Amino acid sequence: MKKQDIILLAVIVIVLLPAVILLLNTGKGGTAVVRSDGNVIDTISLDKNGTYSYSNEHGYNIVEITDGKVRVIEADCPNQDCVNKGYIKRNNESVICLPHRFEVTIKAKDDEYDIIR
Amino acid sequence: MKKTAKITFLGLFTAVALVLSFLETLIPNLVPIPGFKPGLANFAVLLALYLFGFKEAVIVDLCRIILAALLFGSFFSLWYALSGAAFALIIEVIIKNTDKFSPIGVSVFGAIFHNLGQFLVAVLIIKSFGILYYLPFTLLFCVLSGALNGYLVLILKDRLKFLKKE
Repeated sequence: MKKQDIILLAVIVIVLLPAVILLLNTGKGGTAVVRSDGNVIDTISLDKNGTYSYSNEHGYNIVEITDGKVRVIEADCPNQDCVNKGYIKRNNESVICLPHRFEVTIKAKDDEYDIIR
Repeated sequence: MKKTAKITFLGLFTAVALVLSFLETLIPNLVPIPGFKPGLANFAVLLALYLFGFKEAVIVDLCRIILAALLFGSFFSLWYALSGAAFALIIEVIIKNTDKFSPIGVSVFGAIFHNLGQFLVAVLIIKSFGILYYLPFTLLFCVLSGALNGYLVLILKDRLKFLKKE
């Protein structure tokens, strides 16, 4: 192990650790923004429990909202990464389904408010 | 080194990499990005790079990815894995040739670029930057696994020196 290796590792950890801690403390989100192929197709308030079904030319994804948490409960994609991901609840967290070009992101109710906080 | 012996060792490297790839599929995914795993198989590729060279490392990497996709992946994961691996291997060769870093540094650079490559592909496919939220988490994690991989190569490349001389 060389001196450069230690410097490299130290720099990366010093830069990334605060970023990770900051990102973990963004607070609970208020709305789920649903995107298909990059376009917003729906926004759902996290206060309302329920299941929502979305489909496009690639396949379908069923999104479930329970007590401010969001997850994909069912999809016909081959890898099932979106389903296996489980619940998301923090601001800016997202579940993506790459084969379907499908994404659900959690946003604060009011984005400006989020920036101030 | 005889050609047969070299082919045999490259086959062994590929086998080790493939087994490690399989073991990683048993670990549950923490982030919704296919390919968020320790990347342990990369140490076999990096070892091939140190002991034999770039061409041989590419062969081991390609064989591993294609076999892994056929055995327990999908057509989709094949392209995804290829893009990450291409980014990683190219930066590893560049960093190794500067001779400024030990295998640990080379491996960490490889892990970072593997990550960046996969995120780039994911962003291009999904046409949204939301997924970048997870980048700091995966980068921090990959630095740990990259350093571990590099450490394995550091030890093994000296113990397997005889492969070079023959």
